[in-house]
Amino acid sequence: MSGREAASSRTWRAAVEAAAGDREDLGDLVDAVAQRAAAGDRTALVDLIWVVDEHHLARPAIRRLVVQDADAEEVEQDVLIAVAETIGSFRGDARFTTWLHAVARNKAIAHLRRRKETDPLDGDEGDAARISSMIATRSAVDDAIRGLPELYRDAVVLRDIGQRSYAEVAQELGLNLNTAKARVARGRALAAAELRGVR
Amino acid sequence: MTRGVPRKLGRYEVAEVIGTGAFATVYRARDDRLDADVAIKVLAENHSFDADLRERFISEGHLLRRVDSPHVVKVFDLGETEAGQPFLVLDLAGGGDLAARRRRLGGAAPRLDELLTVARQVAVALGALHAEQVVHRDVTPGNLLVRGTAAVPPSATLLAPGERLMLADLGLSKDLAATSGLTVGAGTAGFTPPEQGVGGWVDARADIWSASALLVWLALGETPATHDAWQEPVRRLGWPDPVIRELERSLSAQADQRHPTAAAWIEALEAANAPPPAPTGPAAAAGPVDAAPRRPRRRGLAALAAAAVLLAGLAGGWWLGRSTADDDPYGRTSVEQLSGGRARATTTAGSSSVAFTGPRSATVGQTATFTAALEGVETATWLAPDGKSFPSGTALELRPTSEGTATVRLLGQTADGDVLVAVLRVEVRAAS
Repeated sequence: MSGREAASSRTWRAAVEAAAGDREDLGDLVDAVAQRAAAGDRTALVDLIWVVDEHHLARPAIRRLVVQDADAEEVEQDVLIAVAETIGSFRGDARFTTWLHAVARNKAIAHLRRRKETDPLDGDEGDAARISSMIATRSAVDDAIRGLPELYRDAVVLRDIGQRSYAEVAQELGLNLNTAKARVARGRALAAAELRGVR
Repeated sequence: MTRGVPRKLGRYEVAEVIGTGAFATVYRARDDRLDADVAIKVLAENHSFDADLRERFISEGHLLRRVDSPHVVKVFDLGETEAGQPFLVLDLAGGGDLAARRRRLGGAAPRLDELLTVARQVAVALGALHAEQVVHRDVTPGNLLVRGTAAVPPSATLLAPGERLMLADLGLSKDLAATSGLTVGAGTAGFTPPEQGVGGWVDARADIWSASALLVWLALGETPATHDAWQEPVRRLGWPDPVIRELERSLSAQADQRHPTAAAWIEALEAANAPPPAPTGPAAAAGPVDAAPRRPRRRGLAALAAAAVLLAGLAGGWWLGRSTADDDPYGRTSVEQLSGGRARATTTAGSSSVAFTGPRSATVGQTATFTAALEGVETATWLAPDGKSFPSGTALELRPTSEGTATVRLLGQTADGDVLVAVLRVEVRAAS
């Protein structure tokens, strides 16, 4: 990320925080960054993943189907990955949240289907299984992770390459547990996009 | 439920089954922490992973949380069993339902003033739902629970002093804010208005029809649908002709001939039963029903219906939409910019499409015109921002009444039954 991009990203995030109480205003800001991400702007995708996660933009759609908090968090991570992978299909003629809620509904339904078919997985194993299932080759993954913004890279490296627990990741990076989880989730989503050739 | 009565649901200790249906089972349970008895409604195990049924069940909880009325069942919690079944923790009525109360009376019809007490409570409940853009669609004696205080239910009246009715079971309810008023046939035979039984548009007036059918059923033990000459027997019970006329009006096959709101309905019935003396001084404000039309509610159906009367022809009131996220729940509309600040919204499925053109922005007080174009769809219906619907045969003309964003929808059904919805958001600016 260039210095200029980083500065514009910071400005954008500050605008998002200022608009957080105003759905209309927030929606416009998100729509703008989503359109740039859909057009292949890598910085915009990082910002988009951040805002979807930080402001739980997918939550209302997830909560229409998912009751348990842990399940909702899991589906939210799936949604982040799906957003990173498929943002290219967002055409920008509807609101991003409309598109996002359709994605989230699909992920929630997929979660229900998994839950119906299998016994509840141990959370951590299900988690690790998810990233390895999208892995092509080890070196491709390493490249993808090396290409992550630093903020997310360390967390993903510790969690997915170092196989540490979230608690250990948090401790190592001096973060609280939720922040550590969020960084891993966002980093994975971006790495997944890289692996799928979404740029 | 295939596993019998569970011992616990979440933190609640289950006591007994108090009701079962095709989709859910209701238990009486104990909330130890808050020292209270509650009712817990659990979605059947075999439906718990059906996305549509599950969503509808959970949305009942969301809707109940939005509605605030002493005459609508309250929801306290939403949980999930280990098997993945969602459950709602609800008010325990404790006094059975209105159907059981009517059966206790046997052949003796309740007095009209008692029925109007029931009607007022039902109207308050419906007013609260309608203000939240929710149509219940299943107002029946079985869905009106009695919040009981009497140790033994009364045998000569429907309700004992101090008891109140609570409207329950929003399982069939329709959230007009999130979806369209287009409905498939649903409801309880005898209590569903004509437009609801066959699949058509429903709004608040569907519930007004059902509430009127409820009154006839409470009097005669039969609904107007099975007893089309209900007027004569109720007249023999001593009901005044003006009351019968108001009931006939609210049981009109055409929704637009009924009372527009639950408040208007109960006021008309009460006035017909006891014509008020000529007004002197400020009228005493009676009961909470009056609150709906008087308090300016931005999204209240009551207020909107009143506004619509003021505007001629196809013009309806506009108001600010609450949500922009759910404008197009189908996510299928494509919007094409046209010259002159207009746009075309199109939704296509196979060889069928629903499309319309209209302005991207409008000005308060000035008429905006929308024109439909259909392919492979025989009829379509406009859904104006105020929730009112109009046939697509003519252009939709709307006069915005406030600034903000308004959403216009055009809904059509293909021969295969697929519903196509084209959606256009319009910015409304203040008049300069």
